[in-house]
Amino acid sequence: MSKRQLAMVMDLNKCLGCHTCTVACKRLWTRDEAMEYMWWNTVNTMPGKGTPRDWEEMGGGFKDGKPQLGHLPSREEFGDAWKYNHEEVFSGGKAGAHLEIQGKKPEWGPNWDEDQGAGEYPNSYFFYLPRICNHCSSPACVAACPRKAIEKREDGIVVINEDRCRGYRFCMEACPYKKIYFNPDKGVSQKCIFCFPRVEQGVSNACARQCPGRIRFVGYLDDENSAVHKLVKKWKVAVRLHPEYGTKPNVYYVPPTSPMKFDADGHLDEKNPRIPEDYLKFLFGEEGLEAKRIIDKEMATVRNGGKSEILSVLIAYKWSEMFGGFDTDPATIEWTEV
Amino acid sequence: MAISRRTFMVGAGAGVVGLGLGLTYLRPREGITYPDIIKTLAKKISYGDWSDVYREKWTWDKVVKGSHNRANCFSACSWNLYVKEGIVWREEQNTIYEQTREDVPDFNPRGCQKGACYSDLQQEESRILHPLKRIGERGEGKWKRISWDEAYDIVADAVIDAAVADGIETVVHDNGTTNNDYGPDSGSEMRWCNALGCTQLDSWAGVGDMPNGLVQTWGMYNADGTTDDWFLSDYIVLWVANPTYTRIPDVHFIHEARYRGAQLVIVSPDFSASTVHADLWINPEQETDAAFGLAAANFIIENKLYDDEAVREQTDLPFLVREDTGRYLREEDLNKGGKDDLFYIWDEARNQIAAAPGCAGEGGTHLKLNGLKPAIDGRWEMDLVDGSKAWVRPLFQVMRDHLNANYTPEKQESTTGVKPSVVEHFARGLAGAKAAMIYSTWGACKNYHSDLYQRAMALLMAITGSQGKKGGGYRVAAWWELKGADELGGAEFQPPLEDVLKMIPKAMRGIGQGEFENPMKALTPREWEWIYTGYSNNFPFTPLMPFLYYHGGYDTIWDAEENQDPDFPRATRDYMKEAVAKGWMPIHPPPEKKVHVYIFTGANPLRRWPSPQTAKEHFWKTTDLIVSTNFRWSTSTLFADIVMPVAAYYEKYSIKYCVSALPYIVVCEQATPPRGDSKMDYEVFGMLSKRVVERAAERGVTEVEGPLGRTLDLRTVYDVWSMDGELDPMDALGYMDRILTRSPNVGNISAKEAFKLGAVPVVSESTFSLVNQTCGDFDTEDTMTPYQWFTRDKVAWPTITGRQQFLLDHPWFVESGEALPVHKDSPGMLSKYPLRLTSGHNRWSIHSQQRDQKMLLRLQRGEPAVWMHPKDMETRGLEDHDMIRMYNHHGEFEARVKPAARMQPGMVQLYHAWEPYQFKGWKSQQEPVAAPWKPTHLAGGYGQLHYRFYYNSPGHAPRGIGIEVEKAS
Ligand code: SF4
Ligand code: SF4
Ligand code: SF4
Repeated sequence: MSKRQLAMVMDLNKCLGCHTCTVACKRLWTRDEAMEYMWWNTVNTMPGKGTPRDWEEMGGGFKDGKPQLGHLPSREEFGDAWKYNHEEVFSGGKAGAHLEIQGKKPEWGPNWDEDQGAGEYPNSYFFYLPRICNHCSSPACVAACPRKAIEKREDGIVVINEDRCRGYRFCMEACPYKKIYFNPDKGVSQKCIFCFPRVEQGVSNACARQCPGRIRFVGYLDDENSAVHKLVKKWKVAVRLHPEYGTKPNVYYVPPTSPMKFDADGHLDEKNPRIPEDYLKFLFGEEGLEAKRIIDKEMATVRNGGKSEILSVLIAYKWSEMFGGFDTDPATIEWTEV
Repeated sequence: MAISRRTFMVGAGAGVVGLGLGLTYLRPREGITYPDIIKTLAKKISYGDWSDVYREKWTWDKVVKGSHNRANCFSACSWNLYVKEGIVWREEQNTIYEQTREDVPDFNPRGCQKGACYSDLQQEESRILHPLKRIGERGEGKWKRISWDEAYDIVADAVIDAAVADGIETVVHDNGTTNNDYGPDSGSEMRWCNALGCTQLDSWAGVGDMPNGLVQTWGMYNADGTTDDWFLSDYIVLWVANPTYTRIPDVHFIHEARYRGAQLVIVSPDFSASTVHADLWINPEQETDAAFGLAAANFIIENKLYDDEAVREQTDLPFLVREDTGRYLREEDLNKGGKDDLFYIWDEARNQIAAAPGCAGEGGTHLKLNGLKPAIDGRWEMDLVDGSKAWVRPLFQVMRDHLNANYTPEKQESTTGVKPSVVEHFARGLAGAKAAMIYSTWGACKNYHSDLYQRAMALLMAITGSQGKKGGGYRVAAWWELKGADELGGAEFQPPLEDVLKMIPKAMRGIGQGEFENPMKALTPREWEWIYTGYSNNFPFTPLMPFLYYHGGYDTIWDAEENQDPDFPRATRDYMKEAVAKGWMPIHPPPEKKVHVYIFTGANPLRRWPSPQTAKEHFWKTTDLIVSTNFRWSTSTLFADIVMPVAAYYEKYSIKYCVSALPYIVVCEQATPPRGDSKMDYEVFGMLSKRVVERAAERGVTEVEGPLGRTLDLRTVYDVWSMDGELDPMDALGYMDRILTRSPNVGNISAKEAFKLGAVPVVSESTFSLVNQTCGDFDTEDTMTPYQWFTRDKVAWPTITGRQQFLLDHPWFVESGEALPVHKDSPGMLSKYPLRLTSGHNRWSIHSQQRDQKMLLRLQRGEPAVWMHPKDMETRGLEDHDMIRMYNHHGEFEARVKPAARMQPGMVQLYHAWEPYQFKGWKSQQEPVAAPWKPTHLAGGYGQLHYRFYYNSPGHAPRGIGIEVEKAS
């Protein structure tokens, strides 16, 4: 057991689907060639099949405390790092070759169903769901690894010890969130490291700190001053994704609101949001519905001129306060030799 | 109509009056301190195991402040560039922005995913590293590496040849709007253009970015404040807008406003990304926005939900209109020799007519009513100068009749498909809000009748009294001025102070308001507009659409029978000819001369111009030399003759254009030297100026035909560029320092100090400039709210009526049925093709830049893909990811298709800016775009309807194109 637990809260009412998080993570950690197809941070349009495709149907995790069989996602299901023919196009001449994906035409990618969504027009709906490794408190990956290569650090970050890992990939099958990738060059499994080198220096995660939607809160869950503590523990407006997977994730979500629907005659249905309750329940369980009720109530309060402490925290008037003390500006760091 | 196109005389020696007055405004406010950057020393942690690999990844040699300085994204974000082993290894936002007020969120960490991987782009295959000369046919892809000297010689000789043969106007420079910064690069380009006097294309409207409806209504269009002001809104309407894609750094203020009680409303036919977090989505049929907006206005008026005071003071609605002609009652109607721009209201206090305060003929400065009570109801008979009589009524009543007859919530339903109950819900919300705003910016000008949508939206904002409120009003966009940059750019950007001061005796804005210490503020927007129009007339600026009509071969499309607008009584050609003959639209070089040299810098005409096949067929065949400067391969660059590679963004000194969105100016220090043989644009245009002089001397050429009939002495070109040797083409940093130290609104900060910050706080007022029309006061401790000069200070709007103007009685508007705001069916709606191709600025690129970046393509479908409603696909037998052919009478192209429940049936949406080379046969989404312009956008000779650089000319309408779709074979 870790001594403390770092956690992240993502407010889905502020997410733009912009993938700045995804790109920030990639530029920092997964730029080597063998890692090109990895996206430790993903953002998907929901409802959708997501990354890897149909991950919610791939099994893994625990049921009644027992590990569940899971599918090993393939590179195609994740989406490959497609290659292109830039050189050929730039030297090929007019209306010659055009820029195309080389080799087999892909049928999936990490953001393949972007902005497609669900529902029947005009009651269409969708929202964005960013995901990283959940750094679970009951990590299925840890339990599945015969080499005991996956560790939970004292700060609660789950890391794959690449010295010990032999690339058996049981963790990839076991993780119900399918957040582990395989590095064929190194023969090891790799995943989000919760930016431990940054966190160790008091700097929050790249995906959180670079998020222009300002949706991500970071901090120790037991730090009563941190926004994550307040949102998760005190006010319970941030909840786990698929809690039934049984791994006790430490990434929490403020569930999404949505525009009111139209009724069958095209009039406004002021009672019902577009995103069906059933779907929210599928994603976030009963706790999700309860969290949304709290958010709705608070929003009604401010609309009528009242005050809401919860919403003030979610607004994040002072951005640096989102990070539970992990607010060092990395640009101010000058490295000294040990 | 004497008022417009008033040529402002460039006088000499009038400086004396000014000096005493002119100094105070140059001082920044007292007490400004810049934040200190305190360094943290960190020890590298080492565990001696696998984990050190990751710790090692996150280290760097140095951090430099930079940005994407010439990217044409409507944001400005400061970045820390982490330099490691001589390359910018990654970037992360510079997060030094402070809250402007305690109760408003700060601007951190502004940036987007494109900015977060520009360091990757500048290393990609698309980077051009050496000067190149075409050796095959145009576009054949055969190049020869040449030296910079050879490149300069070829271009300089072609410029001289052109000038000798046909005058300097036959050299055309196009920075397309795509490549502007406020730093040395744009400065150098402007100086090159001015030194030569070559034709400069004005593409603002040409790309479809000109809110003509606002030009018509307000006499200006670039109005916004800071984006944290959005947070103070109570009712935010995003209308023809998708900021979740296009304003990634700013849109959090909108979502956060919801958390303080604001309602977020989207008006859009598709459920767009920006709709995800809305409270209300209204989905009118494509291109029927005006009908919906006018119906909401009808509901507000008939239910007396309007702001009575705003209507009487800020709009032309109390103006008296003649029942017989439908035109305003003018002084010339009543008195012999009376003015044609003096209008009347009915004064309820004295029961008689009175000249309307603020209208052009009345002096045009103040809206103050001074005891007048303008009636908005009533009917009176007037004795006219010719002895006849005419009944007059306030425009308010005329508008009521018009809306009641055509645009009630019930009547609009058959056009828009929106239920009357929804119109009512919206109208009540909008009118009931403390501060309601509509966000609809330049991207919202790309439908044929966009100006009509804008007039309807402006009407809603005006009658609800939303303009000028914190968090209220119609938001477009604006810039801070940067005086140093403008001054160095040339007189059209910064007219000499003495010319400005001459206007002051006319101006009244400052009197009694303690503002006279700042002479620049004494002028009203109307005077500024006169000044800029006068200067613009002194340069061979040419709006893009008229240019393409006369020089690009586009008359072949636009004169064609099928592209005429049935709502106009005459052929579109007639309007173009009349506008040019009357001097309403400038055209350089004159139609009878051909263009010899075309230089484009970062612009991508074959991607962006309508019907690029027409350009290739005509303009590209007839022009002698086509030159591109770029850091990357664009399609157009692949069709150039000479390619001059310029430095990428992290390789130069620059200032990002200064959007008013944030109260900071973003500066960029050079992080690494230019790759390969590339050079800063600053150097390129300085050296070219020098080469022109040297080659002219070698060839014995001196005087040639200059711009606008003047004479150009080629020997002077470099002296003008360099200010008689004061500027050095090798010293961009010196130029940068010159800009900043001459800019009081950044405290005349030095470049060196500015580089420490990356984002330099704006500390004082900007004056009205060519593009800065914030029209509100700047306070370092408050959000910036636009329009307060009008609503609070009662300054007259720069229209002929001095008000937000809803009747345009210009003859062309009358004959086309657009004197009052209306809805009209667009050419696409009338097309025989059943689907409509639409577009939008996209999430993944800044125009075509980064459209081909591998990392970002992997986060999309990797190739151009359109969204369609599943039923439209089903009836055509299409499946997800099929390659489809989209075609109409004018052109065709292919792309992949995605089914999406969010699409309105009938829509085919392809977000923009894919490079033509990303489509089969290099045929892009612009191929079916015939894009006839709307004749009214050429109108002049009427107050606000006049041309100047970056103001009022025809747009092009690439959205709402009638097409059919089938599976590609
Ligand atoms: S989490 Fe933040 S960075 Fe990522 S998509 Fe959402 S808004 Fe963008
Ligand atoms: S999300 Fe998956 S990889 Fe991450 S800790 Fe949980 S089970 Fe392990
Ligand atoms: S926490 Fe760090 S490693 Fe994990 S997804 Fe975010 S940026 Fe990537």
